[in-house]
Amino acid sequence: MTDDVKRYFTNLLQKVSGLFCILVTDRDGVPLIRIDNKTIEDIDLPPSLFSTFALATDQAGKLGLGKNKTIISMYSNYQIVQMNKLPLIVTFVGTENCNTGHILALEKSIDGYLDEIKLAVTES
Amino acid sequence: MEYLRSAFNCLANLCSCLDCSEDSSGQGYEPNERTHLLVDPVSNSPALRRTNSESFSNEYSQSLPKKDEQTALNRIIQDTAINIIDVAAMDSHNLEPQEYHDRVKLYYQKLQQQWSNVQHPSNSPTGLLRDIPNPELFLTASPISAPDLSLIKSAVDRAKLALEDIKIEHKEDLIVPFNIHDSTQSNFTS
Repeated sequence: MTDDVKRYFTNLLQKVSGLFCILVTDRDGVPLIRIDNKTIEDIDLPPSLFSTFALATDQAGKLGLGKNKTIISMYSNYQIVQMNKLPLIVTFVGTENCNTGHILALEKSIDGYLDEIKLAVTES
Repeated sequence: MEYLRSAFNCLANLCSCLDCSEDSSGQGYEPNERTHLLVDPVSNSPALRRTNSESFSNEYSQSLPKKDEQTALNRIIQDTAINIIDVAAMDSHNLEPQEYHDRVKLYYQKLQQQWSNVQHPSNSPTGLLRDIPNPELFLTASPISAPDLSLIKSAVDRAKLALEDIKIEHKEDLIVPFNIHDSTQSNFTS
């Protein structure tokens, strides 16, 4: 069963060049799905990355501009796109020159699956 | 005499009126019997009246149970706290390793159960064109070898010759007369 999940997300990962990994976690950073690009060494993501995002997206929603949906962070070696799908957080890690628009376009294809994955978090 | 008295009274009234106006203009800020009790419209607001008059607050506390007041107050505090952007309080709490692993296991089990219910989008290609993540790889791939190319060329040439050789041999007439005309004629003759 989980092979299907992995295959689907691996296909997504391969659609965008320069994308290292896709992570679906709960708001504390506990991973539900993690797909890594095999050709690149594992990236260690600190757990605070997720909990900080959860807080930051909550706070950013109070600016009077509506709900915060995505936070894109550009670093010197990586770019991290985090999507607010609370109670889930979807995180994409890519190279600094990876096409951000391509990553954002993946949101549509993920949405259908996230509703089912959310149940795993909400029921527990 | 009567006339004089009335005139005097009139003057006295006028003076008193002048005094009154002086009072209101010059000593208006000192409270006396003529100053209004409710000068400031703000003091009409229930919030201030409540603080000013003890009797009112007593009445209020009697009319509303203290518990409700407390909950209303708490709600206001809560709403305010929700709307405040508090960056200083953003210290993230980290999960205990044990809880982390428990949750990972739990999610894994749940996902395995639920994935069968997921409506998988069809994987069949919708068109001939497909997304290619990095076209450079395909564009910079080495060209096909010379023998392969000559084989393809010769095959194509032979196919072309074969196509040119195709001819239609007509054995029957292209226009086939139907028997409708004859039948109509026979109808007319009958």
